[in-house]
Amino acid sequence: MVRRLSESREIEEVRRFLEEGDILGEAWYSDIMGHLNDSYNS
Amino acid sequence: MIAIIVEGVSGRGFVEGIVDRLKITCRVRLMRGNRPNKAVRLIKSVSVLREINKIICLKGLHAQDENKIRDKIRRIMEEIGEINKVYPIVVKKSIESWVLAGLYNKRDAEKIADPIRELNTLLMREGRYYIKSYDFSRRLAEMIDLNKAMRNSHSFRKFINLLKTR
Repeated sequence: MVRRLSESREIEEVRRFLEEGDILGEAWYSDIMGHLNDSYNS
Repeated sequence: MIAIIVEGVSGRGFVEGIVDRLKITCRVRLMRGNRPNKAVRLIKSVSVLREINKIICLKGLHAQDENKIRDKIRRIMEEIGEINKVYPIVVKKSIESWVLAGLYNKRDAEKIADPIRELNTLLMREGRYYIKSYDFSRRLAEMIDLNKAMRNSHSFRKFINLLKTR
């Protein structure tokens, strides 16, 4: 499954994380993005 | 909804096991390493989510000096500034201390110098050994007695109380 990050519900949080100076790989590691299931932990 | 920032995958496993037992929904974020800046970035990014009304930041004391950790937390709180929904907890001394408090009823759990070694010793008496991993920590969270853990560990009690209050 391929999803556009820009169209995902994680985008707001990822954007802020990157604006704060971090990198995409860390966003993935930190569990901000990359979940197959949109209802992850909710 | 609550966001919880933890230090690693085993912490995440333990926390997710606990919140599942309490039937609380949350978002868990992992902080890699020990850098205050990383915590600041995670707190700032998760705070943009409208559904998040509380952010709990778990910081293990481990073998470090408590004043140093509190100073680190103070710097994080200064850096995040306007975000007023952040609740830091100093985990004494680590997640394994909470397991010792709840699984083995260790009354002095927060004072045990090396909780990982102690947990491993106790598990080995039962023919098992401690693996620091997501699955094992989650399983331990499912097994502990929450009341005993709350009674024996002030930091765990604080964590549970924060989870349960709005």
